[in-house]
Amino acid sequence: MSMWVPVALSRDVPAGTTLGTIVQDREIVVWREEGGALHAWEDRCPHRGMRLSRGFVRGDRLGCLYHGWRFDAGGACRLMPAHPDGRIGASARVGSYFCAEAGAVIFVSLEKDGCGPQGDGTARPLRSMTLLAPVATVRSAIAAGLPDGLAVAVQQVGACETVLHATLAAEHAGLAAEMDFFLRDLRTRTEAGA
Amino acid sequence: MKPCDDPVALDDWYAIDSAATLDSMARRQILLGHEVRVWRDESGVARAVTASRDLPVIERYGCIFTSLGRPARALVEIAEAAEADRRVVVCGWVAIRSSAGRIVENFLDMAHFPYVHTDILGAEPHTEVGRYATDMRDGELWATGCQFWQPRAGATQSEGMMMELSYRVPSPHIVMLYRVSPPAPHRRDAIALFIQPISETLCRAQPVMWLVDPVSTHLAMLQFEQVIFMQDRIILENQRPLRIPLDPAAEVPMPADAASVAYRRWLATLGLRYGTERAA
Repeated sequence: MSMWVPVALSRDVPAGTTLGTIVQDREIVVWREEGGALHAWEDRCPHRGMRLSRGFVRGDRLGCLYHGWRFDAGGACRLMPAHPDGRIGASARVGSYFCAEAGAVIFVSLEKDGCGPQGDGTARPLRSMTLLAPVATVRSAIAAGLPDGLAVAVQQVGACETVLHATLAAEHAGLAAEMDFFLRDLRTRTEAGA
Repeated sequence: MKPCDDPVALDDWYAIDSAATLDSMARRQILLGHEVRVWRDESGVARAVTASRDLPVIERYGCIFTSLGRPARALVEIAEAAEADRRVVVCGWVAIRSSAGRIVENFLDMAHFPYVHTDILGAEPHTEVGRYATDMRDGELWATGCQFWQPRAGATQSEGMMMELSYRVPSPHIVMLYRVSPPAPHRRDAIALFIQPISETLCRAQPVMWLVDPVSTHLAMLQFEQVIFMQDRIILENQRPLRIPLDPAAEVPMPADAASVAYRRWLATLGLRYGTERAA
């Protein structure tokens, strides 16, 4: 089974921003360089454990909000502002994972997966939605049927919390309002039964 | 919430309430996972009890202190509290979802000033933290010779200056800052942070300040400190793990962290378990 876990719509992590999320019970930060390249790392600065998803992007570097430690695309610390000319040890680095975009969705994998994630390259982003229900319940509700043209990628974030990342096939883009209504109704039904 | 059974944590003095607001109506506080009731009796004396026994009480520094154990040392002596011309600001209690150790370390840290207290206590590009000294004096941890460029060091300041600071940790759950008083450079302002651990990962804390400041309104001094504290809370509640790691290999320090490294080593030497992550 694919190890790729959907975490956000590509549209919702624009250049220069960060997003904190959960992948298989681990806290992950997904961030996009100003030039567009995407990264997925452990959401914890090695210095004092501050969430990197609260940090700031400058160019191709991610800065930690606590002390401004700057990390490069590979996760290595390249600047400690308290010691601008200081030597930086090899242990000052953030653990990194794999991420890829397909079908308007961002996916993260904790392990190397030979195949990339699957997705319809022409899909249009609709919305992400959080359901306070276990992932098995949500999958059952989806298996009961989705309208034509609607695709959902499912992300478990907690024992009773599941996120759907919904996209629309290009030719159904005009039905966004109806699809949104369907999703909200799905949420109501699924949470009631959870 | 599991009541604390760590004697190193129990055998110490903790602030659990404010003197000015304590009256005859008993208040329920939780200290180290133990329920404590605190009130003022008919003679006006502050009292504290658990379900099973009376606790010792000290009313000082605007706070009510108590202990669940047998402290080996007296409550910290703060000389500035006796100086009659100082403005005394008891800032109010703030709840923080973090451990006492993380809160103390954040108070000791200067390198975060430009990023967390931007344009108040620090600003880019003045981010460098020079070498400073740490040592133990009479069983208390001190950091001295600290310097940092501050855009607005206090409520009276609107221009930047190089600030000289010292830090004092008289016990694991109390931390103090001394800094040159901008309106009176031959004297030092003193700021204490008293931490009440409710659980290992939930605390209340109250700053109390003794300032040489003839100019600012009480509200201005209070609001200045509260803004700083609210900014720090954003950091504290987003650190993982919440408990302070005592294993030197768990996190990566830099030279500016000398006080934090000394504090963690001190806690390990004391054998403190409550609120800490120790080596596996």
